[in-house]
This record gives sequence, structure tokens and C-alpha cells, in this order.
Amino acid sequence: MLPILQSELVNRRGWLTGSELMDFFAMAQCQPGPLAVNCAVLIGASRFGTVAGIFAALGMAFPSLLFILAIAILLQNFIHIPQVAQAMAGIKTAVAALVISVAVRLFKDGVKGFIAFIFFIVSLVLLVFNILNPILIILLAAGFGIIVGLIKRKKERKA
Amino acid sequence: MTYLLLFIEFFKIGFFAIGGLASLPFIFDLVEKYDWFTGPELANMIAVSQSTPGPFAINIATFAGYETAGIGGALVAIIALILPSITISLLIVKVLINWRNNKFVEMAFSGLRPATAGLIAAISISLISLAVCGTEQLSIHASIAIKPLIFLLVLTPFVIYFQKNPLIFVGLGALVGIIFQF
Repeated sequence: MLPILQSELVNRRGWLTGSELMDFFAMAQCQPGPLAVNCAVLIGASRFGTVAGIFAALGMAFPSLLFILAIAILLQNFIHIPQVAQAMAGIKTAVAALVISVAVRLFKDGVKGFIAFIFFIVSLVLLVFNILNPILIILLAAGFGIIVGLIKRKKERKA
Repeated sequence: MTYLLLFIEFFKIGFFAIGGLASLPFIFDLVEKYDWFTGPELANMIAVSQSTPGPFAINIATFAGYETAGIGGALVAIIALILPSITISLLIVKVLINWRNNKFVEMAFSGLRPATAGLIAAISISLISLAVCGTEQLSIHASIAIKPLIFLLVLTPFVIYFQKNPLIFVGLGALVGIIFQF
């Protein structure tokens, strides 16, 4: 997505500089919600105001609506064709592999140190065995993240 | 009533899912909570959403909304999903421009990052099970489809090692599925 933002918004329209784009992109990655929508609102609203930000978000969502509705309707009519079902089975397998690779990347980037590993394992187990729903897991992770951070700071001050 | 439930659920997803595939655990949760769609139907929806241009979360919301309550459902799900994102982004632009430098935000993220990795790892187990056994719950009684299993074992190291455009692997998956008659 970043290359398209760069070529359309920075090079063609000149709405912002490359380094501003990188700042917005980094910020959008840490916010809840789809990254693309966050980027659209941040850029649209800071350059042209609130209404523009909302329009930018709707613009980001609109192609998805068209594509997915078209495919959903097509799929309903063609899923009984053996080749279509086989292709879907192959895609499902590829998607499983893709999600594994995302999990591996998130593990490499985000799980550093023993405490982080505990966070990783506990959320994994809680979800696999359906012990807590994802929202509670996320809230607890954020809460315990703050608690661990505060304890660390106290220790550092004492030392 | 379904519209209202769709709105509430996707608003929650929009608010709590941080980053790319983070919406997946929440969508799987809907299978358990409602009878909107089954695990195998969700697997098809995920496959399509991943192979279509556009943000994954919006694609899957559109599909799930459509599957649950038709075109109106798709619209409700999209709006609900992007509403938190729009609100928070506008707040950031107007007042919280330096929120990322806040020490509490940084601490929260030190817990959120590994937890998200754990959630996605848990979901990849469900997706493996759906691709290979056709059900999202692992069970010793499930029958295993050999061809997808072999394909998965061969493909996964490649996907991890070559961080290419996902669409390449999706296309490959469709091709292999047809040629080897999955």
C-alpha cells in the first residue's frame, strides 16, 4: 500500500511530503482499525479538514464493497462447479500458510524477552482453548503491559 | 435486530483489532456466538477477502455482513468497522497528535504486541484445521485431507522465507487446487 500512497499522494498530487507520509503511516499502524482507513483519515483530515477525512475513509472502503459483493454473488452461483470448489480449497490452504507467516513475523518483531514470551503464550492458549474472548485478551494484555511497565520503572528508579 | 447486532459486533472489531489480520480472532468469535455463518463458510470468506484488493478487514466485514443480512448487512458492517477508526484518527489529528510518545501508550503496546502475535498464532491453528480437516475445531475424529496437508507443508516455508505479495501465493493455491483436484 505504501508505494501507491507515495506515487499518488506525494508525487502526483503533492498533498504531503514523503517524510510526512512515513510519519502518518507509522502512526496509523499503532491505531485500532484498518491501517488503510487510518492513513486515509489522518492524511485527509490534517490536509483538508474533518469532512475530507471522512470522505477519504469512505473512498478507501468503497472498492472493497464493490469487489466483495460481486465475488460473493458470483461464488454463490459457481461454487458447485468442481474446479471452483477445488480452487477455493487450494486458496484456503495458501491463506493458512500466509497467516502462519504473519504469525511468525509478528513473533520475531514483537516477542522480545521472557515477559513478552509469557504474553504471547498466555494469549495463544486463552484463545485456542476458548477460555476468554479476544476483546478481553486484548484489554488484559494492554493492562498488564502497563502494570509490567510501571514495575520496571520503579525498579529502575531504585537501582 | 440483526443489523443492530452486526453494527455492535463490527464496531467492537473496528475498535479492538490493531493491525493487518488482527480482525481474524474476532471474526472467528462470531462463529461461536451467532448462527450467522459456519466455520467452513468463514474459511471461504477469508480466502476471498485475502485474494481481493483492498484492506483485509474491510473485505471480510463486507463479506460477513452480506452473508448475514444481504447488501444492507454489508453496508452496516463496513460503516461500523470504520467508525472507530475515523473517530480516533480525527481525534488524533485535532488534539492527540503526540499520543504515540505517551509512556502509558508505549507500555500498553509492550503487552499488546506479543498478545497480538499469540492471537494470530492461535488463528493460524484454526485455519490449518479448516484447510486440512474442514472444521475449525481440532478433533481426533476429524478426517484429514492429504493433498492440502502436503501442499501446506511444502508452501509454508516458502511463504515465510520469501515475503512476496500474498496474491502470488493465493494464485498458486488456486492453481494447485485445480490441478491436483483438492
